[in-house]
Amino acid sequence: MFSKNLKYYRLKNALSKKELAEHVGVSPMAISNYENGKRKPDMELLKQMAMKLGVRVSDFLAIRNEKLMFCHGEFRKNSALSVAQQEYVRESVEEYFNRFMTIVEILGGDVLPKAPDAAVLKLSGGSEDDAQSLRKHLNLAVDGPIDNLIDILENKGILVYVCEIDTDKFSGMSGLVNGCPYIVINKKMSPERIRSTVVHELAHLMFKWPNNLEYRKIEDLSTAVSGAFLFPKSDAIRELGVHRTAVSKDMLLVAQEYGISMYMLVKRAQLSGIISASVEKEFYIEASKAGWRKNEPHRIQSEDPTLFKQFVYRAVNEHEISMQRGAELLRVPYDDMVSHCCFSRG
Amino acid sequence: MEHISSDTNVWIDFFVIGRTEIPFHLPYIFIMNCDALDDELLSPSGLREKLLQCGLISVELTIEQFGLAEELGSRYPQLSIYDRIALAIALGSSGIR
Repeated sequence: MFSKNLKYYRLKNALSKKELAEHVGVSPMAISNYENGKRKPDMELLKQMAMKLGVRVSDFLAIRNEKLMFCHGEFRKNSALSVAQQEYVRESVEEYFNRFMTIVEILGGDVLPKAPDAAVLKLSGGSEDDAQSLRKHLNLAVDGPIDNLIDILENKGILVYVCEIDTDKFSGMSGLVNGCPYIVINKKMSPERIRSTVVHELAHLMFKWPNNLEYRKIEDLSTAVSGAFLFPKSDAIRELGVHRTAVSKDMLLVAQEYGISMYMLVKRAQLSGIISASVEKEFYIEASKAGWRKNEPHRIQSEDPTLFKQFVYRAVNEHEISMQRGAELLRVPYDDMVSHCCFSRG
Repeated sequence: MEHISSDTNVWIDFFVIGRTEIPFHLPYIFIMNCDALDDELLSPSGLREKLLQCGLISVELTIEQFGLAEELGSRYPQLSIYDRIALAIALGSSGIR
């Protein structure tokens, strides 16, 4: 577990092996050997590395379950993330799901709902139909707004991890951990963008993508499915009307109701034939001037995964683990755990 | 005098009922790893000061104890890191594995 934790904290600190090696007076090869478990440092070196990485020596002892099997999705070939940042996201996912699966194991292992099968949905050739088949696959109504998307997915066995990474060049990724589908998203995004990214990644997970389909095309199709999933055409026509001559302020309420950005609403309105391409373009120009391209105001509350917390609080209250172990698993202060687990001391 | 390395929960329990000093009347020297003692986020506020005031000794981990605490992780996933460290210190000193 030391080796994986060393690598995780090094990447978290955005340090190369060479930089860490220089700081602690060893060769980069020695760091490689520590990270792949071929060699162990002495205590003095452990302390120096901990100090440089801003952690305690004991942080290197966080449990890593060697039985966990990860199958991470790929980053875009032209991803703006550096190789080290991509590696950090993967390490961060593994670190998180190690903690998550530890509590699942402590609670007996069968606490996770059985997730719907991944990579089974066939593409129909149209994003509206694909979005409907995705909703049906998840046993959701074929239209209507979807509140608490993350909660819904967690209750269907699709795990969601909100990753803290200091870049807006990363939106999301997906994969499997011991066969369970997971979705990871960047915490820095707006609540609306988090929802659309979650569904985008869901499409990556649930559809059977032809091997010969270009990655760019898969990305575009997943984005289109995401829009049609969150704001189906039938809802768009019912909420906005068959035809609109301009993008107007009342549409903000519809965007809020469906938990989507105005950018997405306008795109969906155009694709549904409600507004023309020129009205859509006018909106983009005005929205861009208002700074919405990068920072559209968010109108809904952020959604957070709750399943992990729920499992940990349950294990604490059932005396399966101590309050301190719970705090350690959730990475929260001890006093926070007390306030969430005890009626009298909260 | 014999040394006792106990898990943090024992100290937390005494601290919560306001009787942290009681164990220190026993003829033992109580020890705790410095990381566990210094990590105020993973213990109730004020515990560290109270324990030091009562006479708890802060000790550094040896590389052997570190290795043992690492091994204990897969055997006892329900234990916190600091509990594993306390156990490793105790087992390491007693020679029991």
